[in-house]
Amino acid sequence: MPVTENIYEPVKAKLTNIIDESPLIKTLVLVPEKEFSFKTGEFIELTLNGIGEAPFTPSSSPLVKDKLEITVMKAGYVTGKIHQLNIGDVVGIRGPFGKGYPLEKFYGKEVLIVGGGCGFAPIRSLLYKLIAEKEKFKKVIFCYGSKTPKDCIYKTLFKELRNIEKFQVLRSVDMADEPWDETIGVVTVLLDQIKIDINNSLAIVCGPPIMMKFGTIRLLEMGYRETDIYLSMEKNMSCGLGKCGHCMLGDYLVCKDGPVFTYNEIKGLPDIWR
Amino acid sequence: MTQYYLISKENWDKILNELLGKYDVYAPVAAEDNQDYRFILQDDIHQIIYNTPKPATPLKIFFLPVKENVVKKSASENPRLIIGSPSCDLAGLDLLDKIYLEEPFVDKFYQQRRENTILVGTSCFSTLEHCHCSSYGIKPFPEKNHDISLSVLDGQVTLQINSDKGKNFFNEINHNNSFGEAEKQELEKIDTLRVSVTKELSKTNQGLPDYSKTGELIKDTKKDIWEKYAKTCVSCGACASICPTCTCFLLIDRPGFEKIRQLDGCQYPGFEQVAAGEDPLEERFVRFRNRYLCKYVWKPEKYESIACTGCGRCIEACIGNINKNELFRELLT
Amino acid sequence: MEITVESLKKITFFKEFDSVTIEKILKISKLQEFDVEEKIFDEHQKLIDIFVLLEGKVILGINVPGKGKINLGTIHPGQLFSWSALFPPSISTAYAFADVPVKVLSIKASKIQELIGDNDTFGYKFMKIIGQTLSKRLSDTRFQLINMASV
Repeated sequence: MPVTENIYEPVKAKLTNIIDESPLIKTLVLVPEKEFSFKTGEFIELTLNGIGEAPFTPSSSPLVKDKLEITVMKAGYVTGKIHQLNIGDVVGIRGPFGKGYPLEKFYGKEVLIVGGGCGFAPIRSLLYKLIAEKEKFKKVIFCYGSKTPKDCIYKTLFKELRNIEKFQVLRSVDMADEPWDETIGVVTVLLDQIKIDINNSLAIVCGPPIMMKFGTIRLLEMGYRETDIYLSMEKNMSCGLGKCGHCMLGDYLVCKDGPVFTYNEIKGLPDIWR
Repeated sequence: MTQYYLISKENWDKILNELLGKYDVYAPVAAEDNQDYRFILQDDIHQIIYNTPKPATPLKIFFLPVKENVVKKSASENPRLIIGSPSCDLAGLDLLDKIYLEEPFVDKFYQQRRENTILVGTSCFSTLEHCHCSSYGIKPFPEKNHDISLSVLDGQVTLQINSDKGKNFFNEINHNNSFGEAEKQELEKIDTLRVSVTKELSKTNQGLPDYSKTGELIKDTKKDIWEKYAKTCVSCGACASICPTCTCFLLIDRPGFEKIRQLDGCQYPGFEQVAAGEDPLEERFVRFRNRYLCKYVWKPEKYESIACTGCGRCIEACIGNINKNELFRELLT
Repeated sequence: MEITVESLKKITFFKEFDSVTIEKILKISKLQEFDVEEKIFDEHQKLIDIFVLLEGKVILGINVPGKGKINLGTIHPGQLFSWSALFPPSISTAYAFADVPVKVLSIKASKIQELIGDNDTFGYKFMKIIGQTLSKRLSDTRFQLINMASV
C-alpha cells in the first residue's frame, strides 16, 4: 500500500550513508520521514528533486522498517545524478509498487538464485528474508556472475552467506583481470556444478537482460518447468501505478503485474528479451 | 428509471443562461473547419450545435488534462456541465475509469473531476468522415457513462435522464416545472433518426472487421504489413493525443518534489527506453504496431474493455495519411 | 587415490555408460596429478589425451597479442577438457593449468578412437557427450562474448 494519500506525491527521505560497491555501483541508505515497509521484490520510485525519477528494488532487508537501501548502477541521466548525491541530501520515494516474490510458494523447496551484475540488489533483499526464515526452505543455492572481480558487489555478504547452514554460494567472473580463486566464465557455467533436485526446486533469475535470456534457456535445458522460473523484468517503469503505460509488456504492466513474472507467464510475448 | 422530458429550445437556452455562473459549461460550437468544445459564455449559447458527431477534442481531455501538476493541488474546480459528448467518447470512459479509479491506486484528480462533472451525451443525427463506432458494437447514441442524453429536434429539446446524478441535476433545473413529459411521438422521431444513422454507418463501413476480429487479425501478423503502413508515419503522436482512450503519460519532475503529469504516447521515440539505453520500441514500425496491439489485443485482455471506440479521429489527424481501417481491410483479404 | 569403475560411475561424464564400457575406458586411462600453477597443456600444442577432471580446478585461457595470457574459463570436477585431442590435427585451442592441486583422468585419444571404430553404439554415446559439452560451451562463450563486448 502506498504511504501517501496522493499517489503521485513522494515521501521525503534523508540520505544517511553512501557505500561504493563497484566503480559503477553505489548503495544509498535512506531514512524516510514516515515508516516505509515493503515486501521483498517490490520496488520504489526514487525522486530527485526537480530532476527526475527512477525505479529501484530495495536491496535491504524487508524486516528493517526505519530505513531502506537501494543499490544504483550508473547507467543513464537520473542514475548519473544519483551518483552525485551527498550524505544529508533529501530525496523522495514513492511506493512500494508491484508484486514481490511469492515466498510462500518457495516453502519446503530448494531455491536456486541466478544473479548477475546489479541484479544482485533485489536478490540481496530476498536473501535477507530467506536467511530470516531459513527453516522454511530446504536449501538455497546462489549463483552470481559479474564481469570482473571489481564488479562483484556486496563482497562481505558472501563471507556471511558461506557460513550459513543450508546456503551455498558460487561466483563467476567473465574475465579475471586480478587474482580470482572462483570460477572464470559466465554465470551459466556455475549451473553445471550444483546439485539440486530440480523437481522440488524453483529458480529465480535477476540480472541484465542478456543474462536473463541465457540463464532461462539453460534452466529450461536442465529441466526446470516454465512455471518454476521467476524472472525480474526490466522495463521503463515510470508511474508505478499501472497507469502511465511506459512499462507495458503485452497485456501486462510490469509495474503492477510484476516486476517478477514466471517464464510461463511471459514466454509468448514479443521481444521479451529486449 | 429512464425518464423523458421535453422543453422548448428557447426555454432550454434560458436555463443554460442561468447555469453559467454555477457551472463551467462546455459544449460544441462550429468553427470554420471543425467543431469543438468551447467554454460557453452568454453569447455562445445560441451557437451550440446539438446532435452532432465527435467534437475535435476527445472527451478524455476534460478528465486528464494534457498537462497537470499532480502534487501541488490546484484549487477545487467548479462543477462542470459538458454538453454534446458523442457515444464513442462516452464509451471510451469505460477504459479510463478502469485505469484511473482502480484500487488501491485511485487517481484523486481524475476521480474528483468525474464526480464533479455532469455529462450530457448526445445522439448523433449525422456522421462525419471515418466515423465507425457501430463496427465496434457502439451505437451512435449514448448508452453508458453519462447522466443525461439530449436531442434537439423541431425546436424541442428532449432529455433522457440516465443516472441519479442526472436526476438531481434535472430536479435543479426543473424547479419551475418548465419541463413537460416527452410524448411517444417525439421519442419515435428521435428513434427514426437513430436508426437511419446506424444504417448509414453500417453502409459506409461495410466489410470492416469488428473489434474482436480485428484483434485476432493483427495478433500474429508478419512485420511486412506494419512496415508498409508505417512508411509515412513521422512519429508525431497525433493519433494518440487525439484518441479518446489513449491516456499514457509521463511524469516530469519539478522543484519542490512536484510532478507534472503530461500526456504521452507510445509513438514517440524513447517511450519505453530504459536507463541503460535499450528500447524495445526503437523501430518506428514496432511503435506503430504497438499502438494497435495495445488497442485491440492487450487492453481488452487486461481490462475487459474496448480500447478503440471507432471515432476515426486518428485517421483524420494523421499527417502521413495512414488509415488503420485500410490496414485491417487488407488483412482480411 | 585408486580409480575404480564405481568411483567413475559417480562422475557426470560417465553417467551414461555401463560398467563394462567404463572398465574398457579405465584400461586406456591413467591418473595424473598436477601441482598449483602447473601447466597441463599449452595453446597450439599437439594433444594425445583427453582429460576428465576428478579433483581440483583447471583454468583455460588464451594468449592475446599485446595483452598476454587471458584466462577465459574454469573446468570443475566431472567436466571434460582437451576434447581437441579427438579431432585431427589434435591441436589444443587453449592453454590449461592447475589452479589448485588437481587430479585428472587422462584417456588416450587414439585408443578412444579405436573403441569408437569397434562399437557404433559406444561411438554414438561418446560423441553425444562431446557434442553436448561443446554445445554448452559454445552457448556460454556466446554469452561471454556479448558480455565482454558490452563493457
